[in-house]
Amino acid sequence: MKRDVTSIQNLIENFLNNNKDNIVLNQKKGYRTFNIAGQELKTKINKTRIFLANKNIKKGDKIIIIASNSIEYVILYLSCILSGIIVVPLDVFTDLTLLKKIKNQVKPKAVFQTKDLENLTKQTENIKGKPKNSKILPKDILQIIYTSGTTGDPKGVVLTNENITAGLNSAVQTIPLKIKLKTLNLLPLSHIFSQVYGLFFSMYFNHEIFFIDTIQTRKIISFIKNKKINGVILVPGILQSIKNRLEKKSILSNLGSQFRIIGVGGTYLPIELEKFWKSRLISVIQGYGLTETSSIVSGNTIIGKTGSVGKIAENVEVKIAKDGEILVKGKNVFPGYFKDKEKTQQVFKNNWFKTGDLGEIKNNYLYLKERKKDIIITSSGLNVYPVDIELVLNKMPEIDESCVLQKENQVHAVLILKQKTNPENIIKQANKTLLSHQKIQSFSIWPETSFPKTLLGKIKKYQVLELISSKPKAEPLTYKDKLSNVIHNTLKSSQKINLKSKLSDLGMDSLKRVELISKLELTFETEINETAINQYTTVNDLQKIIKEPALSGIKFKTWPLNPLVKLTRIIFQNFLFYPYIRIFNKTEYSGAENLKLASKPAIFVSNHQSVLDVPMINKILKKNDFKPAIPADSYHVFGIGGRGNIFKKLYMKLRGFCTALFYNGYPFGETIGTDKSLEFTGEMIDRDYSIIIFPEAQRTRDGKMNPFKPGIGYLALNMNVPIVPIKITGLHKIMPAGRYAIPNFGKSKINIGSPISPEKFEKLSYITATKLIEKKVREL
Amino acid sequence: MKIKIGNDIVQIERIANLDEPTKKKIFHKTELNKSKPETLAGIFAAKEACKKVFNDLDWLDIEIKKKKNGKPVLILNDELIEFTNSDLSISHDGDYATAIVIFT
Repeated sequence: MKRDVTSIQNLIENFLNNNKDNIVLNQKKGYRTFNIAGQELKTKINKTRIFLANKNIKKGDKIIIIASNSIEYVILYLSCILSGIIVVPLDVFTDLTLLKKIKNQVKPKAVFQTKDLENLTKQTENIKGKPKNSKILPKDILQIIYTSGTTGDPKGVVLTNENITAGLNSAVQTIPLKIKLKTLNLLPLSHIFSQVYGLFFSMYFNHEIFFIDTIQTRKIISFIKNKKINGVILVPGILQSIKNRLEKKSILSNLGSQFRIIGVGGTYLPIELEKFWKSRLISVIQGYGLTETSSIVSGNTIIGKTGSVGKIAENVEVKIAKDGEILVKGKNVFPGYFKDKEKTQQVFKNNWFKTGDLGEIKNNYLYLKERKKDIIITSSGLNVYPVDIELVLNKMPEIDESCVLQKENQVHAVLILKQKTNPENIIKQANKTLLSHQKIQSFSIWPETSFPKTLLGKIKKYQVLELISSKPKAEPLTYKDKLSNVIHNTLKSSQKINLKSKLSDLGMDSLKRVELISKLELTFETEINETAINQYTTVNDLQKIIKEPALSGIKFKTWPLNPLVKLTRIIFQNFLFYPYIRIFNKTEYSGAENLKLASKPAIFVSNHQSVLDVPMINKILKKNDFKPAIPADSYHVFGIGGRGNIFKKLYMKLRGFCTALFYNGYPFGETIGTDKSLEFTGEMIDRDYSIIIFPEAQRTRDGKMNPFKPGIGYLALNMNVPIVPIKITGLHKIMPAGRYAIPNFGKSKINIGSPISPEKFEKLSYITATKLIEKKVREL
Repeated sequence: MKIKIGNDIVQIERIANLDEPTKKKIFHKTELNKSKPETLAGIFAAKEACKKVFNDLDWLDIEIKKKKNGKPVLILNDELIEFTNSDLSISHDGDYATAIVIFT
């Protein structure tokens, strides 16, 4: 058993020292993934600490961080912990009124938003020296986490260094995951669960941490596969979306055989969902804890008890009160709410913390019976207080009484109506005054005149839920329903939507068309070509467009990167191909010194003259230690999106295979969509491969350059690597377009220009970026 | 001399109320930087006017830049345009923004 963590500061220092050359953090931003090794992280933390000290932010001062997960977030967060600066982390969706209240209560010395974090790197670049260390005591406050309040005052949970250290120690002893893991943390660092399990826990076991900047299920799944993620930290809502997406497909081929562990918590985990993954031999580790208990009360190990939230954690005392409420005691339990003695006293009874949840203990395993708080936690981790919604509903004349609860992860309202009215209208009315995360998503009518209640008059919500759930389940929203909803919400037509309705009749103009496509792409997680929808398109046509042969099946292929394949490639190129070409062609290279200036990897942009372009550029790149990857048209080379008989399909498959085998080609283009093209390119670049691209998208017939297609602009803006212009002359005569076998004799030249750094593209649109690159190539 | 003309008028509010993903489909980040609603609406009208002339232009194939004196300038994906000259004028007042574009 590893030693206990003595302090979070020690944890951080050990982690940084033990992983000097190891990548410790990874972050997906757009199409690229950025990473940082221990040594660099340590340097940046030191610089940030000095920066904060220079701004007169010292131990005991408070700062607010309101940003999404990133490497910069971790740098700032760990800097504060090491300097004893109190962090107040807030969710990015915190609304402005709540933010104001918290600012007034906390009086922070600084507020850091996402933009400020990004600027921090630049601002601390030139700082030198070592930060001063002040002694940090166990009872010193580490952070104050606000649990979203109702319309009343927000409650700031004060957590000391001792709390977090004790909580972490309990967590690592209860759930020992000593194996080396790559963990994807999908939860915001403003939540205690994410901090403890997605950061400190991973630091203790030297896991490699990953962050991603999207909640799009499709992208999460390919990220897990491409980066070979072993484990993921998430809430049941996200887990459900992933399951829905992969339900009828192979988990193994979509997530990879290395994906083994799911760490889940935060809200109720449906047993069917837990069983789905366990039956596929993926461990589901469910834990239970509150912000007030530093995120740990109980936790399952790799082989846990389905349906239970785990064994009582080490060094945490748990007992069940007479009314079934779970009470907790331990060093991990917080000292109290910030500046709120009254509320603090309400949650403690004889030094035991009242969790507000009901449960029972069987064989040292904890089972949750009901969330006493009745708080609904949405799939994105936001708290919804049913009381607020019930208040709105109960004020309406048609409603006698209402009960809002969580049903199948939705905000569900159960209504007792005074008279016979259309409940849909009432719900719509109510939703108008509710915040977006509070809106009622589904409802049912209570058949009796009152709800089941306790002696004190509180509605027994779990009973209500049981009774409405035992009714025949409402069909989950079908694909057609989803489509109708999106059309209805975007076009806002009063007309009824049926398959034959023309979208233009339903009120679609060019602006609404873009809005519609945008919403459809989000809802169905696909890409839709705007030109496919015109004034004649019907709802039926739209359905077909969305259902088009799932190009979603196309994944990034790693076999061309396999060492054996690489060897085959080298043999083919060096022993067969180049010697053959040398008989006919002498290529003179100039500007090769520019290759030493370009950082690896880079994107090489050239005019296109013949099929020999790639091999001849390849040659000089390989000499200078660049690893090339060639984007090849997804339709013309790989046959994706093509129709034809079996022979044509086989021919295309062979052609694609050969391109991948002999030149490390990968699909890129309209038929797999812009998004995928960029994803694949980003993935290659992440793996240090350099791209060779010909933006003319055709070979010249007369030696003159054709205008560049805009794809190169997209790449320049999104890939964050240098662009190196290349000019080829003479090859169009040696191997004219159309010829593939025997070249003419002749000489050719390849001129390499100086690299254009990514900063030059930051302020441009992709059109001007394309024009700039075209100019540079022409000028060579 | 061949001339082609396009024109559009749009309610400023409709553009201001668009959500982020939709805006990203229509406007380049260089255009979004000038984020006054009437300016953005004017840019939208200009793009729509161009699209009326050339049906297969996409929103992002068009970029509107402003010269130092405030005059808007049209930048297009070259290969789609057979016309070499273009001129553009944008205006707004109250609730509406309008634009007119000429190609020769």
